[in-house]
Amino acid sequence: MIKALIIDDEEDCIEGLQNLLVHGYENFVEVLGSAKTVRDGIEAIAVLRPDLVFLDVQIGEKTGFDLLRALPEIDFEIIFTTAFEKFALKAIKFSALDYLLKPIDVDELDIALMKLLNEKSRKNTADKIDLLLQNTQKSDGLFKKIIVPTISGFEFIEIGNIIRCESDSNYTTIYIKDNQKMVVAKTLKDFEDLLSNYSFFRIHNSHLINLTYIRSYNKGKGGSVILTDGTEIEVSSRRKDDFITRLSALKFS
Amino acid sequence: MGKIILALLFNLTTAFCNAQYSHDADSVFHLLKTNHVIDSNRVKNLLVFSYLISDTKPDTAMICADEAIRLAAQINWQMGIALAYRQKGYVYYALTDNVNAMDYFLKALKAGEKLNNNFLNASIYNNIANIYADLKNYPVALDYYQKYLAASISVKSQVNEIRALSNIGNVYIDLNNFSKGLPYYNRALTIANETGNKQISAFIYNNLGEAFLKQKDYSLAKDNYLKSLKLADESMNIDAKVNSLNGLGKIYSSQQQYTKAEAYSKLSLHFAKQLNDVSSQANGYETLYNIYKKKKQFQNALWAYTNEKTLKDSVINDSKTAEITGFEMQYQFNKKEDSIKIADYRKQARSAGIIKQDKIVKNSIVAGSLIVLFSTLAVFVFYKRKRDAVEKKHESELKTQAMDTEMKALRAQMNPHFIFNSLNSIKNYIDKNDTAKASLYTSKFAKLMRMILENSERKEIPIAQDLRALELYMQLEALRMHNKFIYEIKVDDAIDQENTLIPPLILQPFVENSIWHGISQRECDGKIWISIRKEGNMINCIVEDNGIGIPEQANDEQNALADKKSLGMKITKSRIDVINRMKKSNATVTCSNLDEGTKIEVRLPEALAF
Repeated sequence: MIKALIIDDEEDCIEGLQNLLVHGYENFVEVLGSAKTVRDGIEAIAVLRPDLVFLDVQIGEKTGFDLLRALPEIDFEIIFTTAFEKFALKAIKFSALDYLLKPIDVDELDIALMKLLNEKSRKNTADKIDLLLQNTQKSDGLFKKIIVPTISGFEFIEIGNIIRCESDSNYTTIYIKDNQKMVVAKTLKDFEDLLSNYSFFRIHNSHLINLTYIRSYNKGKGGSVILTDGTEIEVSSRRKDDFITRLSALKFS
Repeated sequence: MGKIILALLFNLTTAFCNAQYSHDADSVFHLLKTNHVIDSNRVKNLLVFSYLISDTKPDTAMICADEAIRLAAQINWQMGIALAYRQKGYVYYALTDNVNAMDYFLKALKAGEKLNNNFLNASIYNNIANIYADLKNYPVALDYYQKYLAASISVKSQVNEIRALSNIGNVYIDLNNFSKGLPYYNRALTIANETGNKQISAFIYNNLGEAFLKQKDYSLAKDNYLKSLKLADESMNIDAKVNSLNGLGKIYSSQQQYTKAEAYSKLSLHFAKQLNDVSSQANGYETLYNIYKKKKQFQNALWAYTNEKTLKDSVINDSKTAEITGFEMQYQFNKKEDSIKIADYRKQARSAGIIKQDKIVKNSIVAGSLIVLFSTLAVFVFYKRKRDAVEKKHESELKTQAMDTEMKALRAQMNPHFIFNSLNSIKNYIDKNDTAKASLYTSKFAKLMRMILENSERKEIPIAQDLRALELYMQLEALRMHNKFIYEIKVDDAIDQENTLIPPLILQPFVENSIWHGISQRECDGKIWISIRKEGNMINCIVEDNGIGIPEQANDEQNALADKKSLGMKITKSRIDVINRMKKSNATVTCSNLDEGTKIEVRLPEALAF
C-alpha cells in the first residue's frame, strides 16, 4: 500500500485526483491527505511521512520546487502534476522524473503508478531532485546536465560532453567525450525534442549530432560531417539546407 | 468581395419624438457637458453621441450606452431603455463582437415589442439579420430581413423598405439564387429611383453589377457598374464609387483589356486609400494582382499580392472572429434559451443538428467550469493566431511566406471548429448528469487538445504522430456515440511512419464527416477504415465509411446548411491548394459514393523528413 499526499493549490484538482485514486486504486494507494500551500505541504510531509507526493508545479505564488528546496531530505517518490508549464516540464523531463498533465487522464495515472510499484531502485530520487533543483535555478533555461535511464539504472550526463546520439530502433546510443558510450531506453526523437534548443541537430534519420563537435563538412548531395572523434556521418539531402542554416547561425552566436 | 450590405443602422431621429438632434458629435457632447438634468433628453443625447462615435471611439460609445441604460431605467422611460439596448448592441457590432451584439439586440427587441413601435422593431430586425448574414446563417437571416421588410412597409418607411429589399437580394445572390435575388434588387431600385435617393441607388446598382459579374454576364455587369458610378459621382458616394471602379477593373480584366482594367483598379485603389478603407484597398490589390498575373508581369504581381496579403491580414481576423463567434453563439444560445426564447433559431438549429439536447444545464457548477474551460481555450486559440503572424523581409521570400501565412491561418481555423464540437459533447454529458463520462471525456479531450495545439504549429508532422491524434479523436467520438462505430487503421509496410510527413489533421475533417453525416444517420453500427498507401511517389490517405453516403442536395437553403457543415472540408481543400502552389505538386482530394458509404482519397506528394 502506497501512502500518498496531494499538494495542489486548487481544491478541484485535489478532489479530482482523490476521486480517481479512490475509485480503482483503493487497494494500492491510500490518500493520507492534502495540502494547498507550500507551508502546509512541508508540514504535512513532516507529519504524515508519505511514500508518494503528487506535487503541483505552480502552488499559489510559489512552486513545488520551492517546497522541495525547503525540505532537509527527500525520502519519498514524487509525481509532478501540471497543466501547461513548459519550462518546468522540461526540467522534470531532464531529471527523468514522473509527471502527469492536468486534467489527469486515467490511463496515464495507471502507467505512472504501475511504474512506481515496479521500480526497483528508488534511491535515485534524491539525486534526480538535486539536478532538478539545480536546473530550475538557472535563469537562461539551458540546463547543464541530463539524467537518462540506462539498463542498470540512471546516469547523469553533462550535455556539453555529448558528441552524438545514434538511433537503434527503440534505443539510442549516446557517444560521450573520452570514448564513452551508453545505450539508453529512449528513442532518438525523444532526445531530439529535449536537445533541439541546445547545439544539437538531427542530420539524419538515425543521427543527432552536437554541432560544436564538427571538425569538417564535406560537400556532396547531402554531404557528410567529420566529428572531432573521427567519425564520419552522412547528412540527409533533405536536411542539408536546414543544417547549413543552423551551422552558420552557430558560428555567429 | 462583399456586397454592400445596407447596414446603416437606423435613422436616429425617426425613433425620437422630435428631429432637432444634431448629427455632429462635438455639439452633442457640448450639450451633455453643459446640461446635467436627468431626463429623456439626456438619454437621447447620450445615445446620439454614442452612435456618432461608435466606429471611432467604441470604448467611450460603450460607456455612453451604459449610462443611457442606467438613466432610462432611473426615469423609467421604456422607449429609452429599448433604444439604449439597441445602441449598446450596435457598439458591440461595430467591435465585431457578435455574441454580445446579438444579446443586446434581443434585449432591445424584447423591450421594444412591448411598446409596439414598428420603427424601432424594424431597425432591430435588420441588425439581427445582418449578424446572421455575417455568420452565413442565411435561412435565419432571411427570416429576419422579411420581418424587417414587413415592419418597414407597415410604418411606410421607404428608406428602410429599400434596405430590406436590397439585403434580401444580397442573401439570395450569396446563395447563388439569381432568379430570386434579382427581383428584390429591382424592387429596391424602383423605390430608390422614385424617391430620388441617388446614394442608395448607387449601392444597389453596385450589387446588381456584382451579381451579374458572378454570373459572368459581363455586359450587364458593366452597365450596372457604370450606372452606379454615375450616381455615386452625382451624390458624392465614394464608397459606392470605389466598389464600382473595382468591379469595372475586374470586368475589363476578364475581357483581357488589361490597360483599361489596370487604370480602373488603380483609380478604385486611390479612392479606397482616401477613405482609409482597408478591405476595399485589399480588394483593389487583389484585382491588380490578377491583372498583372495574366499580363505575366510577375514583379508587379508580387507587389500587388504582398500588399493584398498585408492588408487582408489586418481584416482577416474580423472574418475569423465572426466564424468563431458562430460557434460561440451556439453555446451562448443554449445557455440563454431559458431566459430568451428564440423559436426561430432553435427550429433552425435543431434541423441543422446543432442542438441535440433541449435540456437546460442542471449542474450549474459544472456548467461554470465548462465556460471557464471554453474561454481559456478560446484565449489560447487567439493567442496562437496572434503568434502566427509572419514578418516579411526579402522579396524572394515573400511569395513563399505569403503562402505560409495562408497555410497557418488555415491550420489555425481547424482548432476552433474542433474545440467547439468536442465541448458540445461534454455539455451533453453534463446535461445527462453523467459525471463519470464527462470527466473521462474531458481528460481525453485535454490530451487531444495538447496534441492538436502542438501539431498544428507545424507545417508537416510524421504520419505516426498524426494518426495518434486521429485515433484519439475517433475514440472520443466512439465514446460519445456509445460505440456506434468501430474503426481500423492500416498503413502500408512500405511507409516509414516516423519518417513520412503529412500536413497535420488533414484527414480529421473527413473522419468527422463520416461519423456525423455518414454513420450517425444510420440505424445499425458503422465502421470507418483509414488506410495510408504508397502509390509511386504519392501517399494516398483513404477514409472510407459504411454510412449513408452523400445525399443529393435538394434546394438552396439546404445547400447553405450543407456548406456550413463541410467547413472543415473546404478548409482542407484550400490547404491542398496551397500545398500544390508551394510544392508545385499535384495533390488532390476526391470524394466518391460507394454502394454503401463514402470514400475520400487525399493524395499527397511523398515527403520524407530525412
